[in-house]
Amino acid sequence: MSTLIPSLFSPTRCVLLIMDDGVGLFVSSRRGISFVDAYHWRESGFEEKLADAMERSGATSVVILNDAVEQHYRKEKVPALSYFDKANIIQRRLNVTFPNFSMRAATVLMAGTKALRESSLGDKETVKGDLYLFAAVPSTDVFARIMKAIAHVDLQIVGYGLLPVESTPMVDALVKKIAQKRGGSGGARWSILISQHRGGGLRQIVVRNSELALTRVTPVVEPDPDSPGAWSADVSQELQATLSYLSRFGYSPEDGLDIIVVGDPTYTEPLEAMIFAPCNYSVLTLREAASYVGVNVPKNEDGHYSDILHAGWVARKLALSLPLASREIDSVKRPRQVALGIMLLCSLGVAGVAGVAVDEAMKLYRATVNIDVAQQQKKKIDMIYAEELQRKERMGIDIPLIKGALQISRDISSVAVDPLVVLEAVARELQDIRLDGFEFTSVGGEPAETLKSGEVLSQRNTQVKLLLSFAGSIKPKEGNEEIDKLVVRLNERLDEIGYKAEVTKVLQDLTFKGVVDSDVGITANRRSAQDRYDAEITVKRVKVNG
Amino acid sequence: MVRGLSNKVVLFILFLLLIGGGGGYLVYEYLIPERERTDRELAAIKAEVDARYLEVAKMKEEFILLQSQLREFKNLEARGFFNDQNRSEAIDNFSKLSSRVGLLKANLNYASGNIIANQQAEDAKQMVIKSHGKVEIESLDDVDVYTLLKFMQERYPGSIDITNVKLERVETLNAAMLRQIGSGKPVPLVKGSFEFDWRTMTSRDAVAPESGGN
Repeated sequence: MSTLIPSLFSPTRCVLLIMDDGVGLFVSSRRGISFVDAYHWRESGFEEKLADAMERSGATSVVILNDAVEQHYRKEKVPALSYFDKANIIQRRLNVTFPNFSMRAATVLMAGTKALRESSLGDKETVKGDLYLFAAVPSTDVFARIMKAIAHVDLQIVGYGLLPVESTPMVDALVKKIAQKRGGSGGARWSILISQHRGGGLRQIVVRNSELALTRVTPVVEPDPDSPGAWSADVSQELQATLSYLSRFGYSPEDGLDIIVVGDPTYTEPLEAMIFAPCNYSVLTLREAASYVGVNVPKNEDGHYSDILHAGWVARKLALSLPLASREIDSVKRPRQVALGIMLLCSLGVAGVAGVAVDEAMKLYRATVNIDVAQQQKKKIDMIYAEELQRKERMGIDIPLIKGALQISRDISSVAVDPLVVLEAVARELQDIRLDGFEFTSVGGEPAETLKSGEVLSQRNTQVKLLLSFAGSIKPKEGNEEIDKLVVRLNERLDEIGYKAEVTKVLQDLTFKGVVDSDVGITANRRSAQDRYDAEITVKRVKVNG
Repeated sequence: MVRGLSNKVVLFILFLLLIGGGGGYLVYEYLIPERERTDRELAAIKAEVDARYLEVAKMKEEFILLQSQLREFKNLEARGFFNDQNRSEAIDNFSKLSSRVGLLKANLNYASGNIIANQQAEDAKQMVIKSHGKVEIESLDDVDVYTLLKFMQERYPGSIDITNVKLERVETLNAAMLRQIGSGKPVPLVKGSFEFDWRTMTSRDAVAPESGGN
């Protein structure tokens, strides 16, 4: 089931290196890259053997890397295009450029593009645009057989790439590393990586300004320890041929040239003496080169063949630089990508459901435990409640009755007014004034009634009317003065109990409003002595605490 | 089964779908409702416990409070606050008080009583009764009237709320009046009246008071 796990989580990956006479299988894992086996095209049961080897490798994805002779490249200028038209036009240009090849791809060359733009700045005739590298390979029967093998195993297809294109950054990295070791800046614009692969071909990758300029794969003699010079001579001839090509690509000795040969020093060191072109010549063993670019190769790996170096470099990539598109690849890759997506979604769903289930189960468990605790608490409090009830029952206390009765009694008492309080105060201040009568009234709202929400008990209106009389012989002015003095005395005493007195009727109104009927003479004086003058004082309650 | 995919992959996807779907169904159909039901049950029990705690706390508080209120309640009870305002007893009580004062004449009249709406009384399965009373008085001295008023407020069963007092001097004490009194014919020097509201509490089962007087 490990094949179903996305390569993101398990970095084990197969690299299928397509060579002219067969295919090499490499497996890249955390421990490094290892060569598994090579399978010849004419080998019986090719697909089954390859599929079986891939399945047994434990890898989750596969990269197909073309290292065959037949690879076609072309640099093309493409006018500046809008984002929406670019893909269609590039595809059309690819079709026109490589009409006979079904597997094609294009990538923009940044350095070339920049140069193209810079050169066109002062030249209105030049078409402004980008410089593209177009590549194509034929869809052969052998490729179909590889796809058939891949279809038998559950591996995600990372892509189908071209070894020289994918290894170009590695050449650049090697050049920089070597320059760093030498203490220089690595200023050469041209670099050539020479390495021999298991198929017997000598791969030369020429890089100019970090971009692929030229690549060649040519047959050379197999390295022979008895005559290492033979291999070196053969390679030097191929290198000379390559250098002769370079001049066509604009190479001049002033540009600087780095030549890196990866292989067994037995064969590579004699080569230096056979190179006459000015260059920085570097010989690296496979292990040195691998360590420079961060690829782990097994200790038992043959030190001369360096196809494992390229495979290890490409296996580490998350995506290929120039993936070739084809129906054969898509027919397998797309369903697997969709399946991977579905599996990821399903896994997330299952994980989510499991998370929710665990969360809910934990909550349910906690709630169940809490219910037990709460029920125990309820039992205890019920017992306490029952004990309290029993205690009160034993005492014969009716709580609502006691509270209600006391409250009602207080409500009534707080409103009721004792008339004797004010009458006693009045009596103390009368002195020799004659009181004929009085009327005490105290009316207001019902204090024992429960008020509705928002209602307020109406204030009690309490007052005492004092009826006084004076002898008819007294002068009204003097009588009025006596009344006024009484009111002053009353107010001094009544103030502390919350009452206030005022004259509501004087003996006689002596102002211009008053009506006067006066008899004079001897008989008249006798009669007036029997008459009486009436006066009235009203004492009102002005404070509730009275 | 599907082009480009092995049966193993397809079966694994189906397995994941089955696990996810089945698990989801179980979670949302059984686990979550069960958890919600348990939460509701827990909340209900907690609410019951909290309510019972409050009740017990209230009872304890009331109990402490009642210890101090009990004496006050007993006094209230002794003063006859719990009274069904039976008119016969009311007249007897008034008669006893007025006879101690020594009035020339006192006439008591009660109007029909009313039940006052009071929630606290209802909670205690009681009711508050109010009767309006009026006393007509004839006396030799106004002090007797005041004494009766004091007795009514302090000794009459229940709560007496004086709402009106009228008093007037009808005669002046002179030699002729003294001779008349001395001859055994009492002459009222003061006449008056007072009105009051009589409030008591009684059980709901008590008979409604009726109008009456002497």
